[in-house]
Amino acid sequence: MITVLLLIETALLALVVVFVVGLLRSHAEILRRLAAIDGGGAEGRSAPEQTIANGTAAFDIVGETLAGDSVKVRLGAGSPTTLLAFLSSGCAACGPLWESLDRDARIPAGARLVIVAKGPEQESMTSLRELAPRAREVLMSTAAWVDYAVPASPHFVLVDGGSGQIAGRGTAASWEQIVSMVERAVSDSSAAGAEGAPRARTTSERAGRAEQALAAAGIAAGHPSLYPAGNAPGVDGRA
Amino acid sequence: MRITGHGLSIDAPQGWEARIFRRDGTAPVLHVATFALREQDGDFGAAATGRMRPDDAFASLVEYRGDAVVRAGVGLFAAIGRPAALRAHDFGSAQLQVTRAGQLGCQRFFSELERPFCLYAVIRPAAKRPELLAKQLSGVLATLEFKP
Repeated sequence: MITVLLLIETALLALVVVFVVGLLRSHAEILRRLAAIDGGGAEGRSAPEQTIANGTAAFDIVGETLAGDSVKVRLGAGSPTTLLAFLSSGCAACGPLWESLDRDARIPAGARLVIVAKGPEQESMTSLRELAPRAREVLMSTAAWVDYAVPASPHFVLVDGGSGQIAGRGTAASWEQIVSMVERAVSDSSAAGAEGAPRARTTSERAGRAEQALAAAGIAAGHPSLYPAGNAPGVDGRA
Repeated sequence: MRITGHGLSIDAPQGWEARIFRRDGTAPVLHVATFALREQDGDFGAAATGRMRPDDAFASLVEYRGDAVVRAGVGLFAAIGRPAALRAHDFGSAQLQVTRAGQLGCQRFFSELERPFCLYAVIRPAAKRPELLAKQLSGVLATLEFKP
């Protein structure tokens, strides 16, 4: 009798073990899928980096126009400075931007504008055709959205032609904001390039650079040129 | 990166830009270049070649609509199959559609898959020798594929 009970207990225990292992596997699968969603990963394609920072080398874009033409846009070093506008037909915030583009919006910093929508498999072609500006080409490339880790539309990426690197990126609700954003990015990168070092971020850094520039010009503390009114320390007793 | 459209396909490597397009009611055109291309560039790149920098290369493959006069495999288009790799001595300033200082051009007419084509190529040698530019351009053109 005891032997029979032991056998039943063992069988039940084995069943419980199998059940627990199954639960653990199921839990692991759920966690794996959640992690994939968080990472923005897509089947068959490696997940993009979460953020593609300024200074990262730009990616070339291959896509299709609304007319069915095929295009490869080169964005490496030596290509023109390019403003990538990631827009979609379904986003409400993109509406004013599509309209601005149709009114011949000014492209800042002499940049080339490339409007990038997702591919036909994720876009409404009818809506895109209605929204697309007459004088500008729209390139459809879902891969470009993945490569540039576009978080949401509208989103803009400025690629510096000289270096082939991303000079700035962000979102904007109006064309005026884009112009401002691009001009700031161009100004930042040219300032950094002119000084041969990263742009000063703090007051102390800026003061330090001013000191260095003055010292290089032979101007030290107490130099008469710093006191045009003739009130240098020791002249009238004020420091 | 390979692009495909309108029965043509080409692999444009890093540093090259490419477009395969068709204007309303016309046959396809393929452009490939080491500089930025534009939608408004002419079929034979009259505008595009004006933007060429030293050591740039450009090629245009223009398909013709067949009719009573223009026929694949006949006359100007008698040559069957894509042209052999272009060499430096194939290029000359007299073959340019638009004459520009420093540029050298080359034109080849042929038929492929019963389709009449003209290949027009332009190089602008400077630091790079014409042989090298012609070789690099031919390397890209060798990836051309024609589809019915």
